[in-house]
Amino acid sequence: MPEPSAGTLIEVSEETASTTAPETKDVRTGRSPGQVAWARLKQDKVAIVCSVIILFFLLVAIFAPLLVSLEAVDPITGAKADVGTVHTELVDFNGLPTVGPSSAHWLGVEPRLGRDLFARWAYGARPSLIIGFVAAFASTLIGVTLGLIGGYLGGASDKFISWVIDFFLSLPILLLVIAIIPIMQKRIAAGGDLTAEETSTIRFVVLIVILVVFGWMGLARLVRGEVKSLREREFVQAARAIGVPTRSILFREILPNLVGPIIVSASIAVPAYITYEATLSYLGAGLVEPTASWGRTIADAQNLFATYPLWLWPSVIGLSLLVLALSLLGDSIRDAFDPTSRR
Amino acid sequence: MRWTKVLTVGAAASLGFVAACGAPAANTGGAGNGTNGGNAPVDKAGAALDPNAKGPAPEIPGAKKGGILTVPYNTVPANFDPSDQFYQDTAVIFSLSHRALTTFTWKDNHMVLVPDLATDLGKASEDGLTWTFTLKDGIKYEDGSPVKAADIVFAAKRSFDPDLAANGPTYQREFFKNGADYQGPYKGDKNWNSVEATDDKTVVFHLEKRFETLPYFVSFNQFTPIPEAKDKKADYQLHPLATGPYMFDKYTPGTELTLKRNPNWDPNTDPARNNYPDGFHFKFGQDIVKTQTAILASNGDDASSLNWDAIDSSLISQIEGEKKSQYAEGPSSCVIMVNMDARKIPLEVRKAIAVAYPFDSIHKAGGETTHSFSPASTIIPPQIPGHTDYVAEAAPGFKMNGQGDGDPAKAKEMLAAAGYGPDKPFELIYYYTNDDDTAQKVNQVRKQAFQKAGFKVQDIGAPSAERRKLAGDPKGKYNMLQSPRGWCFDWPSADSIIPPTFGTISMSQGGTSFGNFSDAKIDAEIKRIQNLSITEQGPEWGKMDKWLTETYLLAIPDYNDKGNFVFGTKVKNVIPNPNKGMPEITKIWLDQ
Repeated sequence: MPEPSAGTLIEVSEETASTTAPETKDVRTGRSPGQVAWARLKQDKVAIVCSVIILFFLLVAIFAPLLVSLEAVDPITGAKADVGTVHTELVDFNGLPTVGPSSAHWLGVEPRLGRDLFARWAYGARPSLIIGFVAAFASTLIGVTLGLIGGYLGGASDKFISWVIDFFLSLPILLLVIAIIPIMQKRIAAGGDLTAEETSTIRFVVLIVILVVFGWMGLARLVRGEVKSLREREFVQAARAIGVPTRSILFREILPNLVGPIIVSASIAVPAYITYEATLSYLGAGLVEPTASWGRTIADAQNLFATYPLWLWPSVIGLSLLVLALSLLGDSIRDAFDPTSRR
Repeated sequence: MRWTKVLTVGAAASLGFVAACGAPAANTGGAGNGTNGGNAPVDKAGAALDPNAKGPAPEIPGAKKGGILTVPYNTVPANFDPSDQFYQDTAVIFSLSHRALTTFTWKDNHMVLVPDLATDLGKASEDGLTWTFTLKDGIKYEDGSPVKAADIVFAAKRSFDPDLAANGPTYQREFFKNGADYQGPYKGDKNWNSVEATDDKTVVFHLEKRFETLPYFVSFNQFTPIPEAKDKKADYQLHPLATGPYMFDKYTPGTELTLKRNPNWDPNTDPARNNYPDGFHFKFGQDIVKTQTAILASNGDDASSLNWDAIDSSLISQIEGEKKSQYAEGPSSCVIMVNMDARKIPLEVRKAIAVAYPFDSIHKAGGETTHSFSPASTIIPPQIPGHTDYVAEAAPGFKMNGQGDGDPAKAKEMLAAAGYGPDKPFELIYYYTNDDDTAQKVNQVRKQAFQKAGFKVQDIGAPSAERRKLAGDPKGKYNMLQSPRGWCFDWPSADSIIPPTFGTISMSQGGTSFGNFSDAKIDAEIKRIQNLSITEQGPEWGKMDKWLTETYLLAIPDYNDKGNFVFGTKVKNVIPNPNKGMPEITKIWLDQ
């Protein structure tokens, strides 16, 4: 058979390929992985409910002073409730409140001190959320940066960074944190004397720093692994071949491919940090008086649970609900980004 | 100035301040009747002397023999060395197994000091510097060997040992001749003989200065006989040889101790002790709430159990209601004050502090219940002879009785009169415990009350152990709330309260005192009263108490601590000992 016919055959096949390809191409390039995830997320009822809950707590935290000022003037003390002022005239000699929930105190008053429990609860949402989000943001930043550097550069710097990651991962975190917080507090005070308010502020900052210092390794390891596999891919090699600077390769070529895992990791980190803050405050190593914190309230209230359950419930429910909502949302985000998940 | 009670860290710290000699127990919140600390009249006459008391101890009507009394409680004794132990819980246990030269007993509804191993309460020489005690005949150790005067001398010397008696009392150093630097029989001068046995039956004490209350001091377990030949030094505590009605059976350090009857104890020589139960079982380090709940329920062994920890607030409704018969309380030996540094705070401002101080709020915030304290207006607690009941006024019409929540408006006026106003506030500086939640809360209450009265407040946070150090430093930065927070007397006489806390002696030894104040007039008055005889001293101390508060106000009387006892339905005759805040354990019997 003459050769040209073979040539036409090939041309024909190429033509058919070119006619079918554009359709599928349009579908794929129409949405980025982020857009796909977003679309999926919007359809996820759990994610919507969780977002509403989280939004609710954010609003409570932001507008805590406003909400507290909505409470009525207390007829006994003659003043509006606030978060710090003690009113021992509202408790009896064994420390139990003499007033129940009322328009002046929506959740009653704190045993022994007579502070307004609604104010303590609303203000208590603040440290949880601030610490959760700030620590998650900062540890994500550190984790991504070190992961990128280690994974992309390889060699000695990778070895060093991996060693640091392994080292930090091998530390018994809870134990160390409990030991380090008072030490750091003392260091910051530099031999000076701290009043209760100063101690409380320092604790707040120290807590964030410590959670970040001990919280970035998981993500760094993840990012490093991903970068290691990505940097051998054709598009990265092509970029390198045409002389794109390393910075651009990292931020333009590699990082966009990591957005999914990073968002997933950050969204799971927030509830973890909130739990950590509450745990440490519960154990007495976290926030101190006069800062309102759910963890501390839970620690205080547990002994009187049988006699005065209203002290414990709001903080327990608040904390559980917030952490559950954040975790489920993180889960949904993970599902949304996961190309293999089907729903 | 010694700890007479071991407390859990939580209990001690929960006050936010620690008494120099054993902080009172506190507990957390609770239901109650809403009255200020029960003010039941406290039994007086804690210091009666009965030099002629003879054994055996009178029978208790209706009492039955037999049974094992179980005592689960929260603290854990570090050891059972008679030279070392100076705590309330071990003193009670030793009162069953060990006999000293003298002892206290419950007689005609008050505590009386009676001779124990000695035939009388000691004979002092003319100048009061030599005391002689004669031992009774026929006293034996649990192994049947006789007790000799030399054994008491050896025990007294042993109480100077820096290692074996590290936690013991220090009166012997202050009062015994050349006692200040003596290092005990093993490390010290072999020729030291300020305590000596002139024969097998006679113990002689040579003193540095008059010590009229020596008969009280020799009732401590430091003066129970230890035979030198059988002293195993640090291991002696595992089985100290008993002379009392019970002896050590099984002792597991840190966990439990059982006592059984001592066959070589002769009741006819002992005017103080009854021996109704067959034995005792002490369990250490028990959870307070669990133990007390079980004892109140009184099932099985719990019916014959006794607990002496402060009552948990969650159980108050029970002990005030249907379980009333299973609970007893009585005064303890601690008096708590609000201390100020008189060198740094002028008298007018001290009075303003007294007017501003929120006593009730601090009790509430500290989780103290109506069962854990009674408000005080005096330095000397009511159970001590010579206690003069007075209520001083910090301002006209303002009574200092340890009650109420202060009067910030009046305090402001007083500060203004003293020349301090909003433009020039008086600054109060003190240390507070910042690693304990209750202490933090108490501090919030106190700080807000002072600020309301127009003071500027610098509250310096420190961890509890460090706070104790800082507040106990006479050169500290504070101007109030320095150590001691309070004082637990060692024997029921005011000479174990006022001289060590108000005299210059504490300051001169590098410690702090009430007021951190050195005043020749106060020292002269202390010296004058100390040279009186025991019976004359009482009323004089009472007068001095009033004079100190009215003239100087170095510290504001706050409250007296209480002892709480919960026991099972079979436990009978639990008598609170007002000198120790503990039950009089040798009088307890079990209904079978």
